[in-house]
Amino acid sequence: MNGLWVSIVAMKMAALSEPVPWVAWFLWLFVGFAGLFPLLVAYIVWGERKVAARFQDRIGPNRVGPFGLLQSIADLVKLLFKEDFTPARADFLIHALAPVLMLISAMLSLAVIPFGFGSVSMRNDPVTGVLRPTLTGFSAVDLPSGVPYLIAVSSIASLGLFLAGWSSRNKYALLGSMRSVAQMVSYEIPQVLATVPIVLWSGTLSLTGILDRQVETGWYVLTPPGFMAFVIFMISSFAEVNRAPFDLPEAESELIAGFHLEYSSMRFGLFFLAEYMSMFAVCCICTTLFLGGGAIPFLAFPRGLLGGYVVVDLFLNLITILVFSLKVGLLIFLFFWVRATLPRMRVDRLMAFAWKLLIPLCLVNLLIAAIWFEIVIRPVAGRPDGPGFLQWWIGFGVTALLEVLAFFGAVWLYRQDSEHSLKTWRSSTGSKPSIIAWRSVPTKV
Amino acid sequence: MLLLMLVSAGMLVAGLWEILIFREFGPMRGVFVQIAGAAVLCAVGTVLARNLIHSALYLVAFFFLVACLFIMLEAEFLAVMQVLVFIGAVAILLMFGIMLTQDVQGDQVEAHSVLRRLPAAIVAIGLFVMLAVAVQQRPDFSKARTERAAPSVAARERVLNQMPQELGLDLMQRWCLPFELVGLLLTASLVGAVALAQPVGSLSAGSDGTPSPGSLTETPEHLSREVAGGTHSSSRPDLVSP
Amino acid sequence: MAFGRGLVVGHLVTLRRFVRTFMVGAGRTWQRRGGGPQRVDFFQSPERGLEPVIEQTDETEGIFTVEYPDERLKVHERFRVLPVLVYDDADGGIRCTSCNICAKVCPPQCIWMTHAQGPDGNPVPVPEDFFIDMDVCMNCGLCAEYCPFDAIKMDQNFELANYERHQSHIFSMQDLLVSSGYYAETHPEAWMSADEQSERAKASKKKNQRLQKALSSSGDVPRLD
Ligand code: SF4
Ligand code: SF4
Repeated sequence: MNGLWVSIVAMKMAALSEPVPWVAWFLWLFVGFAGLFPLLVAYIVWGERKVAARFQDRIGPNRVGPFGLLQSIADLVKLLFKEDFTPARADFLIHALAPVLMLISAMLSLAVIPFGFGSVSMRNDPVTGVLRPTLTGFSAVDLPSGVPYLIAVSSIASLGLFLAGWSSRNKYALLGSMRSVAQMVSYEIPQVLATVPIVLWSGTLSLTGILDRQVETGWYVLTPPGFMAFVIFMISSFAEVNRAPFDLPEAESELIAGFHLEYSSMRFGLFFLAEYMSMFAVCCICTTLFLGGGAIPFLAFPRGLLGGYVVVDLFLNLITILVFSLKVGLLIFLFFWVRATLPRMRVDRLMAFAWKLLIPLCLVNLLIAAIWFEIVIRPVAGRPDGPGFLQWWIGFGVTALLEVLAFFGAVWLYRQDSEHSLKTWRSSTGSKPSIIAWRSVPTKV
Repeated sequence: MLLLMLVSAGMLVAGLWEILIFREFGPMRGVFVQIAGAAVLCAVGTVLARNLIHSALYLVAFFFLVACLFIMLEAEFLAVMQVLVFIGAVAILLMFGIMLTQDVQGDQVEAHSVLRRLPAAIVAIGLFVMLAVAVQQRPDFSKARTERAAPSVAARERVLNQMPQELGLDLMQRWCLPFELVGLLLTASLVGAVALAQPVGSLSAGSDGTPSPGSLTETPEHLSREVAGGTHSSSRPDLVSP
Repeated sequence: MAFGRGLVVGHLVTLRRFVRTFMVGAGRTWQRRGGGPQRVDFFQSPERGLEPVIEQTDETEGIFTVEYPDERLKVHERFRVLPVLVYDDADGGIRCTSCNICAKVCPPQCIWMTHAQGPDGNPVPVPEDFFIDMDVCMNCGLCAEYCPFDAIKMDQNFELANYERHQSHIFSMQDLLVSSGYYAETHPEAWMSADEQSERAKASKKKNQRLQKALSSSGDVPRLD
């Protein structure tokens, strides 16, 4: 089912981009999306269990196969053979549709990621319009409007999540999905706003174009506004894929399991798969947007060699894919690490965090990114040697200062606001904050 | 199941229609007729579905099919925006709205009288007529596709690859006035929403610049009054002032 | 006002734990320490009874997991599970005199026994059979505490799982008997305590006398060596 959808959409997209031979399509679809990515996800699950275990002074799975490597396969078999249960009064079709939607969303976002550098072709520079050699990117589709496409397909996930909760006819599931929709709608905004500086600097919405631009001018995360955008993007990505500390939709301790409470067997497995695949996808997106994709740090190295021989191209793609995987792996480790450290947030704080801290910070960051654009990028647009040393450092100094000010200002205002509401609370009730009031309540009335 | 059946039936009917009426079978035209037929069926489903959520889902399917049509027209940016705005935001908000009503499962819809349906029907028909006339006003409407002036390859490529840019320029230059008007409309609705969401009486209290205490004040006072009245059992202990 | 300092510090703390599990203690290897049953595990399971014994103190750092069937925690002397009946290695004689005290004190009443009889039908101070329902026993140790002859003692064998419970979980004397040597091995401190030594001496003496008396009254001369 997923494969079908992916193929339909991808075929349509393919008609727009370059003509790709059917072999490549076949390989992407069946080796990539139907084979490699789910397998990869299974091993991300294994990795998470191992890493989380180490964080908690445990060993993790080690009984099935060497180092427990076959544990995921065993789990898969177990899930497949369990009873597929649908509650009697559930909305059957929607109940079945919801996990598929989530999986589709995760898979679709992988379709545009340039995992490697691909080859080189002559294209118009998005900023200056001059024809110059550009990376084509090793991706299933190179979509001219890749960034909005990513946002669009990731918003399908919240639809699936909502439908899962709603169709189960279970109040916990419904609560979970309500929370999740509120959360995902809120955190989509900082996530999208954090990508705007990238689009501004690259002058293109295509992920390959962004990758190409980064290989030329350096990774975006190494600039102060880019770093801020990276941090904001990561934080909101945590919320988008429902990972701790923003895992309120599934909150085991309060909602039992939230939206997937009524799911069992492989349909639950699909949720599991979708969650980890969207985590993987988000890490891939982040790597592409901020960490220079498969670029080796501080080098434009393989770029000049591409486009000659097919063998060389293949080899260089292998290298860039490896570097890409390494970066994605580090980001995924970050996900594990944060999950092992932070407790779940309270729902009102979650909302306040997005609306009162992240979004203002994003907007200010956008302005600072524009300053960076004016100082470092625009004056040298079209010049082959890129920004001068001095220019780069002036831009760095100015924007770094502004970023620090913006960060402290935003956090200070955020704190002021929460203290203000506390004070309002106190003056309105004539009592101390709630927890103290609770302690001083006489036990017998 | 109903949805699936409807969609497939729509595809079948559309395919038959295609063969019987048009008597020409280009692959793209076939796809178009199928998608359009399914879209019309979804639209009908939206109106006829008994369950609010089902109705919203038909709408989502409809939006998605419209996005497919955009893709057929090679306007992938528009398609992406269609999915992003209508499925990602509008449909979700719609469902959120349903969640905020009493009827959470969405199945307590009573049939409306003809009188209440009438204005909607009039508006819909009016809109349809308006759009139809507008489309027919196009100078080359009656010409076959092959006879229309084809855009140059370079221009076409530029538009396809730089669609957001071209679209933005077009919106800010040629369609500036409608664009701004729509923006005004949205701002008005935003302000209206804020006004509606304010607790009663706090708009005037907040007008002198000092922030109003907000809705937090209401519950505790109400509850402490309750405590004074002796109905302690109904109040949460953490809201009580000693 | 701290601007996210706690957030950073917290992450560093957890990261430190993570890294340290690879550097100290049992977690330095990715391999299974206890070994495993399959060839693909690179390790073979250790022979039953030869599993490595892990000792953990409050100073232990890093990974705490004990891979149980393949390694064990040290069992300490006061650890108790089910009662056993002790017979003396010296003469092979069961210490129990079938006095029924343990059956009386046992809170869930899971001990019962039959008295042995001499050839003439008189009771002899040994049990003919002795039963403990191990599903009912709550491992309280009162029986061992009350037994005047140090005949019933708490054992440390905790691997009692079975496929069937109606027959095999009612331990008869055959299942319960252990040698005093075994007891001395599992409870070295108690065995060597002055208290138990003198008790041992007294008990065997008393028992001998009673046995003598019982047997002589029935006209039979016992053979004791
Ligand atoms: S085990 Fe001890 S208490 Fe129990 S019957 Fe035997 S001698 Fe008496
Ligand atoms: S340990 Fe306690 S419960 Fe078990 S047999 Fe002895 S007295 Fe009874």
